[in-house]
Amino acid sequence: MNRPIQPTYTLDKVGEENFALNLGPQHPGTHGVLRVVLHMDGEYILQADPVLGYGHRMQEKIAENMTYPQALPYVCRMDYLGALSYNLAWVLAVEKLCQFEVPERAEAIRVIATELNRISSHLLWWGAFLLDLGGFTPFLQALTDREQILDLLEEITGSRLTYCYFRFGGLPSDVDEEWLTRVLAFIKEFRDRLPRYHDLVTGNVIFHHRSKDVGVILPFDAAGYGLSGPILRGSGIEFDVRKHEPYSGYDRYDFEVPVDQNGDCLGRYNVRMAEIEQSLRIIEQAIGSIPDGPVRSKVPKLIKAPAGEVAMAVETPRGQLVIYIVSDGSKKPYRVKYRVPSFANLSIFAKMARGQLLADALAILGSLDMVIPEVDR
Amino acid sequence: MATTNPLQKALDKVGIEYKPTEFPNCGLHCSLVLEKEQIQPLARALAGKGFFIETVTAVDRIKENIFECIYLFNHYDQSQRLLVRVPLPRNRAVQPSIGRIFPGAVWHERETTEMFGIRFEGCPDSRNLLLPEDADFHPLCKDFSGVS
Amino acid sequence: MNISLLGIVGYLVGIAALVGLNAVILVWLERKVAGHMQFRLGPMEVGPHGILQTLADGIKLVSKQLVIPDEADKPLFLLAPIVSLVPIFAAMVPLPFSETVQAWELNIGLLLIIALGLLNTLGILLAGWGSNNKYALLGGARAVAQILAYKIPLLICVMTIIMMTGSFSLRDIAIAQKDTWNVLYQPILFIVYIITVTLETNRSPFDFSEAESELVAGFHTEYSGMGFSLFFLAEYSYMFIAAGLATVLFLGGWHGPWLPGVAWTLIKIYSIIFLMMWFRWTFPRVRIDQMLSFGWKILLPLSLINFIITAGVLAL
Repeated sequence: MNRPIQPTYTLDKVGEENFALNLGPQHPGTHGVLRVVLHMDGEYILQADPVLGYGHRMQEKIAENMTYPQALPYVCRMDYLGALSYNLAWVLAVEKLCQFEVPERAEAIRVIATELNRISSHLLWWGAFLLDLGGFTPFLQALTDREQILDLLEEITGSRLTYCYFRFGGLPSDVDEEWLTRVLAFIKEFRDRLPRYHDLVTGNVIFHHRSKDVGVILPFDAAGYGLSGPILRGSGIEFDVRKHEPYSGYDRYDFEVPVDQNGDCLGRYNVRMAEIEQSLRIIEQAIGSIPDGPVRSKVPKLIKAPAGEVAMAVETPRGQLVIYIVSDGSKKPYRVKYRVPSFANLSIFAKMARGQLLADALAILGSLDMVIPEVDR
Repeated sequence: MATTNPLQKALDKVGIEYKPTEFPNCGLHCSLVLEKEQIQPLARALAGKGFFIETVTAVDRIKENIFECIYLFNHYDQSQRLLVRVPLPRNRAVQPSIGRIFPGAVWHERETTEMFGIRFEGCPDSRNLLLPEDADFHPLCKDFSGVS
Repeated sequence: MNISLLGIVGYLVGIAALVGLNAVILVWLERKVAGHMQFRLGPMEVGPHGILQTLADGIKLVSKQLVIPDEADKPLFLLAPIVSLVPIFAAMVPLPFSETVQAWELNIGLLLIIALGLLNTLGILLAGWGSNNKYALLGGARAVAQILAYKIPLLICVMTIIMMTGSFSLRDIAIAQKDTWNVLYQPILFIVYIITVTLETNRSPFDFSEAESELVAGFHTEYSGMGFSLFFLAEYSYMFIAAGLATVLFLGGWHGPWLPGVAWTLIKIYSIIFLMMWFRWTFPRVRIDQMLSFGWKILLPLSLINFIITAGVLAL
């Protein structure tokens, strides 16, 4: 099964005028250990070649060698900004495979926590995107609000970033009324602060010049590259796993899927900003209609999944995550595949960056909202 | 009878019978086992009906001495997750590439190549993606036991 | 006016103290302004309200090892920060702080400052080329690319003021505004001037040659310790000179009620510097080609039309 090793990066067109620029693995604009080899003609990019794998941990092999509960905390390490979505996807996949029941109260709390996590992820993206465009202040403003979400989540989950809160069949512990009241208080306060975000950035002329008509993704390309999440919805395709394949009772809540027809960086920006508001709505409804009852159903101590296969899709802050598990009936999964949204979303970058200015390429990379450990797994 | 189901339309086009599976139990709307020659025409039909590629991967069935090459497709308008599995002999695992039909499949195929050693014929790019560029081992194979 | 050795030594000491003190204050002020704009306090630990923080950082920078990359062009690499900083000592000569406080009254003072301001770009280019680093080179190239786009409107601005006053001497220009400040006659010109000097001093939203998120740190990517701090010193000193020039050209120099002239000059200078800091902590960065077309297509015609109208009004 050996195959010849190909030379990795051929610089066939490098002459007097062109040069290769190594963007990363350490670069303030790549948000992690992503490396992009850019072939440049002055400030213009002739060709972009993303080089992945600096954060590769062989997550799929790790999962194969672990029992289902053991693999649980590892899953949350992939997307460190949307850990609860990953946590949720793994738990739901195993629950689907083993046919475990989940109490309604646990489902509601799962939705509340996941949506809070989504807002915090979008807030960090908002700051980091503006940082890519050269504005520093938004970053710290967003972190101020994100901090409150982290405090709220820390109380129930015990950690601040790589949460592992959900368990098979429910939750390890219930939340109290007081915590729910504080979430509502946060939503009220945050709603007052959201207009300030728009005042500072959304109406800014420089921001519009930097993001409008930059990095346009056509709906046709979106399907070819398998994009999902806000990037896809920024191109006018209304696809949201929460609506299309509802899980955890998302079909009980009334929310919209924001869509922008432009497909440029500004479109993706608008979609994410609107999503924050929709997430707030979902949390409010979930808290308003939260039932009483247990938060954990009876689950066997030793989980042995029946032989078979299952695919579970979840909408993470970055798009559609599919966890595909093949089980052979033992207590360890036979094969696990993580179909991560950032991986597919990054694959279109090379196409988008071609012919762009360096500054625009970094704006595009910022608007794609990459989490590199998620891409590398 | 005309159907509005895009998956059924696409399958009709390439002459494959549409057999839905229980979605709530396994998260799949349809599951197929195909020969490797059928994958490219199917991919073309799916692309024409607006399907997108979710992933390309493989499962190492070492006991049966085969690789199962797995494709997941879905549709943006209405959820129609299609799982296609193509059994390949373990010692001569060659599969036609769909990288020219779905450009996004190229990265998934590159990953499958390096992880399992399945060669995708006609893939525009077959360098290692996640592993180091000189890695010649295939870590997701069941007989892989680490690198010294 | 006689030039004595003592005078030169006195001037050099004075200007070195001013450059150093100004940088210390501005770095502290920048952090404070940034902090308060971002709902935080900024430095608070060293001294009251962190006023001595810059001093501590300065000592740290001076005591650091000077790292010269192997591949760098060593003479150019070492020369660049000096080329950037030294012109400041000359450029401060004709700047009047009040009717009596001025290092040396030059009849072409304005021309001298504008000419010396160009040397900053040479320093950036040398740093970019000498570092032998692609990001640094791109930063240096950007600095050169933008120079014409802002220098011509800036010169036309200055020419308009010279035409109104009839003198190249900064002192004469300030005296001519005893009753009415130029900014009231030329509000558009004042805006053009502020934009162009923001460009000249490489300040955000026009910090193309640094452009942190794009070029890592631009021309000073490879600099550490003293080389880096010299660039920093130069940047803040150019800000001071640019704001000082704006004070004299548009805001009536030392003229103002109640307070002594020097106080008024400093208040005006630091107000303009505050304005530039405000820009930096509010706006995202403009793209370089957008800025170039803005310079050529808007700033240049605007200042030219303004120049012609002023000439017409003066002729009547």
